[in-house]
Amino acid sequence: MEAIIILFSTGIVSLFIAMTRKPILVLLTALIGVTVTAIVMSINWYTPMQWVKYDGIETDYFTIIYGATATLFSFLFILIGYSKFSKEVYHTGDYIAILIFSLCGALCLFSFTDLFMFFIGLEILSIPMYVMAGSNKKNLLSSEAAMKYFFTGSFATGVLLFGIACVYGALGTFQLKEMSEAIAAMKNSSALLQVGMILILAGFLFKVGAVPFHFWGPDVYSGSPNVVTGFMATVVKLAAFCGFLRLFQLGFNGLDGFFVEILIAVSVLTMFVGNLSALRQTKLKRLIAYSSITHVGYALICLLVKNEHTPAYLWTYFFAYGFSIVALITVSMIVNDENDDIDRYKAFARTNPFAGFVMILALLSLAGVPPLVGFFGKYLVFSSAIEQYPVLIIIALINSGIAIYYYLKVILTAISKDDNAEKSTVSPLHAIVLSISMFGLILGGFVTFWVN
Amino acid sequence: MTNSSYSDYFPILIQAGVALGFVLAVLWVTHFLGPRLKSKVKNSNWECGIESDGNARFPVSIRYFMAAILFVLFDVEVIFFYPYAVNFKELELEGLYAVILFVAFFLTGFFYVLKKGALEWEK
Repeated sequence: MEAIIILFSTGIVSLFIAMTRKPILVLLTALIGVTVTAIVMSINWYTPMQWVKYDGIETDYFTIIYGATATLFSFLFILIGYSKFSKEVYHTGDYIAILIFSLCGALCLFSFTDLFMFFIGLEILSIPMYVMAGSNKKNLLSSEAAMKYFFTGSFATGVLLFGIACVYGALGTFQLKEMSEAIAAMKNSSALLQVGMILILAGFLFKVGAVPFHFWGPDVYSGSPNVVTGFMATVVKLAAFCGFLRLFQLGFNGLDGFFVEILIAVSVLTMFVGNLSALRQTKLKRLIAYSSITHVGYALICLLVKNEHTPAYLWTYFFAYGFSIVALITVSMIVNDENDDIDRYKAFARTNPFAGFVMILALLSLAGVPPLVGFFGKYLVFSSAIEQYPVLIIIALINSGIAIYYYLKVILTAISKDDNAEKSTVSPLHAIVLSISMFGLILGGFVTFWVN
Repeated sequence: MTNSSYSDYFPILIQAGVALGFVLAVLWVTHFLGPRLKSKVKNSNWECGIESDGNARFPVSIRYFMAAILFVLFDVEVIFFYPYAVNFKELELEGLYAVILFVAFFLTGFFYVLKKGALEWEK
């Protein structure tokens, strides 16, 4: 709770500091605020803070791990985006504050104990994203992205709310603990509860962009400004996954019966649709969008496994995925191409060896090549489910194989020869972020031992 | 509370039935109410009034929208004061703190809007 309050105040303060028209001050405020938030959250690990009491929020170990990860990625994205944000002096504070407010929603989703806080968190997470998707006001595609995301997103929220209403009707409580007790005490499963759970599941699958609710993904991802795309792919997905995992595990005692069948079907469909559509993409951000759909398919396997380690595995997966996205988004900011064509990255690794190297690492990590962190994420998720669902894991492995093709295609473009290629300038901030993500990609695998 | 059964939802069903039934009934009944005249002239396409000029889709200043949306925002804030005013005594200090916090958030927003110049009509 303290962390959320500090973060929220940071957002407000950076809004007002922006009135001085000095972007660097806004950046410093935001970075200090986010860092303090992370520190305050980490202190909770040893001694739980009790300054502000609120029943709707409860901090446990997973809250802290997830929260620290989300804060880290937001920190990196604010750094990456600064070069773009500071161009519009009038709006720098707005952009950074909106990202911070979205992070507040993510922190609510990591720690809620009742459906009310869950819904509030999800909305605080999404609404800033609708705004940020359209923040490149002069670009038609950006406006289109905001419009599409807002309409479909609010519709999904409606479905989710309807599901929550049904669940409340069946169980008569909003508290996760009382909900799970009520379900355990039930003799016959109630149809109302099942309908509610299906509607909530549909809302969840929309928020993370799983097939058949993935149609908004590519358009929104490719239309939004680069930083926002990255933020959506990492922080928003991490928060949505964690929030719903909490809800299903603590509130509904895990999913079973035909929910498992639904999730298996959705997972397999998501992997195939994401992968096969990604094969022929010519734009980097659309490729990221489809590959992120595929990764949602892999991560959904986590929800199927009833295991106390599931949150840790899910975290490792998104931790690994996030570093790749951070690196790729930084590279796309460096290249800074309006059309975002993959052809534009021709010979990028030759002209900018360091950025190119990190880009190749990121793509290999997404493909799941062993020494990199992406491999460990996949390994933990797949190995946790292989005994229960062997066929599903085989399908997932086949899909990982397909995915290597389009990642390699980008890598080959990046290292191909082109005499006319110009060297892109790498700003110091981008170089810092690239170095951090390089360390994350190479050394991140060690977290696996800690998680185990 | 946990013992809710399906019969509790019966009023909702009736409500939905009434809502749907009313719409359908009115649509159906209008065909029989009032005189109906049919002739060749009446059925033909016909326009009246001044001929239209230009496109209706011209840009409107964002200030109108800003004023309208800010009005709604502060209007809703006032609505929240009514329940507080009614329960003023029962809520005691805790209620006062909550309302002060609420108003403080609003004033922060208002200050921000003022500073941003959203309410300056001429610029």
